[in-house]
Amino acid sequence: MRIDFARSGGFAGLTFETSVDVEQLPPEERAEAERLVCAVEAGSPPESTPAGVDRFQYDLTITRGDDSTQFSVGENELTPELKALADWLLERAKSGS
Amino acid sequence: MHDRCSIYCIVPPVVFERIARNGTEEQREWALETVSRDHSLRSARLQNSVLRSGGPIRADALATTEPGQPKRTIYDAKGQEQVTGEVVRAEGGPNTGDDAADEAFDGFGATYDLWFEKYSRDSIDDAGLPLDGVVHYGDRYDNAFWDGQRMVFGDGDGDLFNRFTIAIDIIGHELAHGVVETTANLNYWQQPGALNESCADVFGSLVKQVKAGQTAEDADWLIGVGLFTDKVKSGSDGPAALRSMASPGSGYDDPLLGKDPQPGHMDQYVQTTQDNGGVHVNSGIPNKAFHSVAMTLGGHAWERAGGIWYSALRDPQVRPTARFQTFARATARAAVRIYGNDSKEAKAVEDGWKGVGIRL
Repeated sequence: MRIDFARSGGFAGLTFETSVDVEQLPPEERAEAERLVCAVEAGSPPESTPAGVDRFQYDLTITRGDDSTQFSVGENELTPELKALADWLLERAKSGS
Repeated sequence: MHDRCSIYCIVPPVVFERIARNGTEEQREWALETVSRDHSLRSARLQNSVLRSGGPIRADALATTEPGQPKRTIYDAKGQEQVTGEVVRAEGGPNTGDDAADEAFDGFGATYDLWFEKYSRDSIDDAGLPLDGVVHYGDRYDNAFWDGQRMVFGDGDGDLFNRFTIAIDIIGHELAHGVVETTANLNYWQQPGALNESCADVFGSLVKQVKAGQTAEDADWLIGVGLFTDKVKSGSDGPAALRSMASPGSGYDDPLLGKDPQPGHMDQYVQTTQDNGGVHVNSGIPNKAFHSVAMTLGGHAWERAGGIWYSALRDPQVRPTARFQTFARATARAAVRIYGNDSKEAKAVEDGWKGVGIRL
């Protein structure tokens, strides 16, 4: 499973991006990634919304083989599950992973 | 039921205040509704915002706002992602000792003063809109925003970002979004969004320049100086900043963050689906146009350049869908209207836009 993530916008207008090949992660991180993705997939899908003024825009693609699901969501419309996954990915993006 | 009119006539305001603070929900609503009947919309808004906060109501909070004075209230969200909280600062109150609350309060004052003293605009909506701010929003939240009714500030992540009240132009920028919303109401997407962003940077920067008493030549034309921590490398000889209006693309140049992506010319316009179509990126182009006009004219940038830009925002031909050229033409019309056809102001405006690749 591959996760592609970008958070853009916000007052600072910075983009933080990262891509994760889940199978390549150390076991604990892999388990965490899978747990977070499962929660997103089990939850209700958010509306694809534009980000509000100086709010963040989250772009997320989850790919398994030929299947991929894409989310493009304004900060205000993040579901709790998406937020949890996004926060985990943002940490990785900020640390340069 | 109460005969509201006669009770209002004989009951002094302080009693309504006590009812509003201590009464049941029904009593509170009645008390505020009764008072607000004879007050302007502006104080009803303040009352509503105080009601939403659940906080104490100051006696003067129910008074009608006089033009020329801001009505500021700062709420502490205490690390929660909520846009309400305890009232920690309001008009007439002392410094709290909490930098975020005091900076927000002072920044609101400076922003109010720019609009009222330089442009005769009574708060963001020109109708005395109370200025509400929420500090300590979220956990290490690295952002600040205007949500249509209030300004919300995060504390930064402490790693790359300091607190978002730290730079006065951030506050000016966010409140300027409210001005844009109540004038041209530019859509927050692609070119109109980049114009929206640029106008917020322009008037945010002008708040900073007025406060420092700077001419265009003195100003650094940088947005958000002090917001980045020492970890982030500058893209110029000056301090690291989010954006440079004088030299778009030179705010930061950092191993982790990369280089400031702003263009300064239409030839480098960035097509993207991120960031609402690059509104924080392509704002560099109209930012540079404003900078050029201000520098060509010299003196205080808020006087002529700022006045022209403000006039353009109120031009009925600048609709929410306006692209750069439409806005540019509105600035040109404003310059001619205010200074004359052959004025140096009209020429500066034309040259400023030409310099970024926009022909009128």
